Amino acid sequence: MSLLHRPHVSPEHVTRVRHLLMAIRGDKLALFALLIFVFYCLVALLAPLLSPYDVNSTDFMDLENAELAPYWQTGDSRFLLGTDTQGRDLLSVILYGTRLSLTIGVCAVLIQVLLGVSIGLLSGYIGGRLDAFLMRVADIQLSFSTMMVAIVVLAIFQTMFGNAAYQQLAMLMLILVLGIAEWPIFARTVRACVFAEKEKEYVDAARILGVSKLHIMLRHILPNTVSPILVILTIQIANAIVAEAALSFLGLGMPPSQPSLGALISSGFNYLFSGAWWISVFPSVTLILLIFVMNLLGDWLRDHLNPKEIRG
Amino acid sequence: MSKPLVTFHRLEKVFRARSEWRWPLRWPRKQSRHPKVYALNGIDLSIHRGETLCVVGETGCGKSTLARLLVGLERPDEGAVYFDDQRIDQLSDSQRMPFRKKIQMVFQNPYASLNPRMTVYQILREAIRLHHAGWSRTQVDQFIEELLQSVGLTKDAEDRYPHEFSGGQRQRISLARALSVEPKLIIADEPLAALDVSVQAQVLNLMMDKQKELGLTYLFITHDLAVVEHFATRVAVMYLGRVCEVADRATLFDAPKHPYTQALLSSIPRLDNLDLEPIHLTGEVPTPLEKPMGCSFCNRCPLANQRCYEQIPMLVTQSDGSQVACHAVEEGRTWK
Amino acid sequence: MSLLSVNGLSVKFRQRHQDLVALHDVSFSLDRGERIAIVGESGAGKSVLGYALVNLLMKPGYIDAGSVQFDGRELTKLSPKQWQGIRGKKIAMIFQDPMVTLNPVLTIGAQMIEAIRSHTRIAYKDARKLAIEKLAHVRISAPSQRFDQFPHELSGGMRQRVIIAIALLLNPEIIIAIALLLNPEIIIADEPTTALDVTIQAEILQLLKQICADNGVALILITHDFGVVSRIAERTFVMYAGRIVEQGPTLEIINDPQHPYTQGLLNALPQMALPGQRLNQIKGNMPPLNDQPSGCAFHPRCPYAEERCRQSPPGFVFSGVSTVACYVVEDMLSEFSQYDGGDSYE
Ligand SMILES: Nc1ncnc2c1ncn2[C@@H]1O[C@H](COP(=O)(O)OP(=O)(O)OP(=O)(O)O)[C@@H](O)[C@H]1O
Ligand SMILES: Nc1ncnc2c1ncn2[C@@H]1O[C@H](COP(=O)(O)OP(=O)(O)OP(=O)(O)O)[C@@H](O)[C@H]1O
Ligand code: SF4
Ligand code: SF4
Ligand SMILES: [Mg+2]
Ligand SMILES: [Mg+2]
Repeated sequence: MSLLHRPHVSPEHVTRVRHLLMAIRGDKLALFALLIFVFYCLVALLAPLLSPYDVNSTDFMDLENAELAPYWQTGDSRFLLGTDTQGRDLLSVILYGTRLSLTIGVCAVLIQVLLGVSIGLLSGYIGGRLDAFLMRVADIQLSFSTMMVAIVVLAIFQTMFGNAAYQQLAMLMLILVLGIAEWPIFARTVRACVFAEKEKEYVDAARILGVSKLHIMLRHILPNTVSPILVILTIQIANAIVAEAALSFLGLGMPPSQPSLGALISSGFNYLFSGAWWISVFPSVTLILLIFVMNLLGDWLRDHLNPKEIRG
Repeated sequence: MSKPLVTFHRLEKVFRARSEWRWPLRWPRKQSRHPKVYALNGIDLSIHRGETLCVVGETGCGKSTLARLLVGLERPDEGAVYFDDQRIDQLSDSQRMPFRKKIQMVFQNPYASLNPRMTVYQILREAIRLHHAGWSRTQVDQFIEELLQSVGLTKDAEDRYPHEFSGGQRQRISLARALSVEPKLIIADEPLAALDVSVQAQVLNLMMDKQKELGLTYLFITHDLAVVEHFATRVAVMYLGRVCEVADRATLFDAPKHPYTQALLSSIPRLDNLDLEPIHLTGEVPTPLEKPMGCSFCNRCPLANQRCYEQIPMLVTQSDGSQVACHAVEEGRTWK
Repeated sequence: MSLLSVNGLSVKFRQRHQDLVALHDVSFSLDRGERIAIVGESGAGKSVLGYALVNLLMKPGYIDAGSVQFDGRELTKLSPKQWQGIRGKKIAMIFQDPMVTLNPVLTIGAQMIEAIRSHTRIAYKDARKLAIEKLAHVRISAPSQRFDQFPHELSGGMRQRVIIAIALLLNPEIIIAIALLLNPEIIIADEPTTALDVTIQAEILQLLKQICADNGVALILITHDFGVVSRIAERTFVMYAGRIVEQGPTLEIINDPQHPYTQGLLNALPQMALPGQRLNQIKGNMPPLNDQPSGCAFHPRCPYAEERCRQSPPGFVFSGVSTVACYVVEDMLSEFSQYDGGDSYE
């Protein structure tokens, strides 16, 4: 069909946001996923208010209470989901763990976005040698798998500076490593978009008017690459959370004193078959649900934000 | 005659392969095969003040390239472009600024020439901010309102996005953007191609009104000879990067001289001359991949002789004022 | 008996609140070997009609009422299976704007080969050969060199031709239909040449006309260009807002249009005004589907509109030259028992 029809067919599709809101109202599954995601975010934000115990207080960890089963098995109303191996209330730990996992995921992806988008924009708009160089760097970066890089870097860091220093800086390190390892994903997508956009006549029109290069990149081209960025963003956050969980599981992530979801699963894993299943299972379920919901949202966004742009 | 506004002097443009660094995105192939494209091969042409110069010619003959050179989106390899007697083709971005105000462009595709993420107000303000930096908010607002009115749109168009408008309305917005810096010359690269006949009439009318009102000069690129016949003051016919004929509208349509012009004119379906049989050009479709030795039209020209293959014909002024680049016309050979 | 006869065809698009009517009660017939044209502005419903005839309406669209008979067979009731024997074989269609856009970061060759390979398993070398052949087919010069270029390195017209070449690759039935290997009896061509420049447009139209004339194939040409119509079609149907408003022999319609809309369209052509003078534009725009005027759909733009035009839609009358749906023409006819020349536009 010719493009000429668009104004007639959908006068309602005024803005991207409104378009998405309208679409999500009609899609039960996506709406459900969105609600759960919002719930997670709220939990993460409000963890200190919601959790029944203050995880920072000294009496929070009490080995006497270690490995208590959930409320419905013990009848012990102090610990709704039971306790972990160190006697911490599992519910509180999970709340804080979710907060940590999400924070690490989001921050890591923010770094990815910052690096990826600026490199992608430069590479795509300026092109030529610079583009070739940056893209080769991206290729090289991507050819090492994220996990491998992370394991090597974190392991080296741990042996060099010792465990104590590591425990303090673990979160920062995780964010940096995960952030730096995957920027090429954003860079490539943005670059492809910029290539598509910069051939369009509105960019020529801006150049003819004398608009500066920087302004063209930021004001004209960047807003037109937001849709694909948004899609990758959701999926990348999920990926970063999973990566962090995997690293924690391997003992390279968050220390047991400050457990993320991955570290919790890891610490409970050894007890899985010795009866204390809850220590591992509850955090796992929390994590899986979060990842599932984020992937659902990512896929849904991909379908609803101009799919053509994203393929590039 | 007064000095022309724009002069192209022996303009040449060759497109070369970009750096080979982009190899991973290409299919396997030999590197040396990437061609040079000879888009313009020595253009001599001038645009007079207040006129409408229409440029016509087959796909790929270099019309858009000519326009892009003039507005500074590309640089020529050879030759020069003069605007008001000043050379403008080698200027840096900042040196070019005063000329940007005088030369503006309207594009072919009304769906790609406006940024989909900016409102009409933002689109117009951008131009004004650059070229009337000192204006106050209210001055800008008022100017935009007047501008929109002058192209037949109302104030409530301001806060809408381009996709809410039809093709013809978008071309009006494009024209408003071009007019916002009060230019002397507007280049229009097939501005009607994506529009319906009835909408074409609206846009053409608007362009003519503006020309009368503001004394604009147009460089108008089009495929539609009916539009040319209606709208042009003078017409330049291009073939493979060269100008083969330049003439007043009436002269060109009444007495086309160059063999290519004749073929071109006969090939358009016309309502006023239904039984005219088109002249069919034989021979290979032209390629801009080699630099032509003689006349670029020689392998399709029914009048070609040995000289045409060896010597490039120059634009020669005829008795009726038209300029034709053809050996046959010069020698007085004609169609059989 | 006519080859194709369409009776009271109406097409709607399903919407949440109320279905939108895209075609209102369209009727016409086509004889064997006849060439007709359907003209009208953008959004008039020309493509919808084309798609409806071959039962390819896009999702929310459906045929609400009416019949399409091909060779005595009712087409609207056929199963998809039965359609296979007809679409592309008996009725070929050349689509407008084939929804292919070029990816700016791949060479056109890479994109064409991708298209070929996603449909058939052939070696790279053969695919390349085929792609280059197709580029030559749409008259792109030096196709083997163009093959390795990126979209932005081509001129605007060439890019459009590449898109057509890809469409040709994707719809082999169409090439076959053009080559007449399957002997279609009708070709529906939806704006086949709008993307091309005039010289090549003329060539392709000539070719299309020749093929149809030589083989007795009927042609339905959809376009908004009266110049094209005048060269090809024997009869013309003018559409406005999903309705046929005037139909008749092409030359008569062009020389002596009856319906105010047809007059407006023809008067808007640049050759209808003196050089340098303002063109006669039709005021206003084609109404969108969700905002259709009552009565005669043209009334908000019609210079002769009266009260009754707003009330109820006019019926068809035969003016002596063409069949027209307009009250004013109807009145004129009853006033002069004998036909008395077309009124000019203002
Ligand atoms: N950036 C580029 N890189 C390589 N070749 C180019 C580039 N831009 C244009 N060309 C080539 O220059 C020639 C002239 O192109 P141009 O766009 O000027 O044609 P045109 O006359 O405007 O054609 P159309 O009527 O199809 O728009 C073509 O052969 C085209 O392939
Ligand atoms: N899928 C769809 N959903 C809703 N409305 C549609 C759809 N497809 C087409 N329409 C509407 O149907 C009407 C007729 O469209 P159609 O494509 O037939 O126009 P056309 O006459 O072919 O125009 P053009 O010259 O631009 O090709 C338009 O108003 C269009 O907006
Ligand atoms: S110079 Fe020769 S080849 Fe060229 S147009 Fe004239 S006669 Fe034809
Ligand atoms: S019926 Fe009335 S409104 Fe419709 S075209 Fe005729 S005069 Fe105009
Ligand atoms: Mg062009
Ligand atoms: Mg159509």
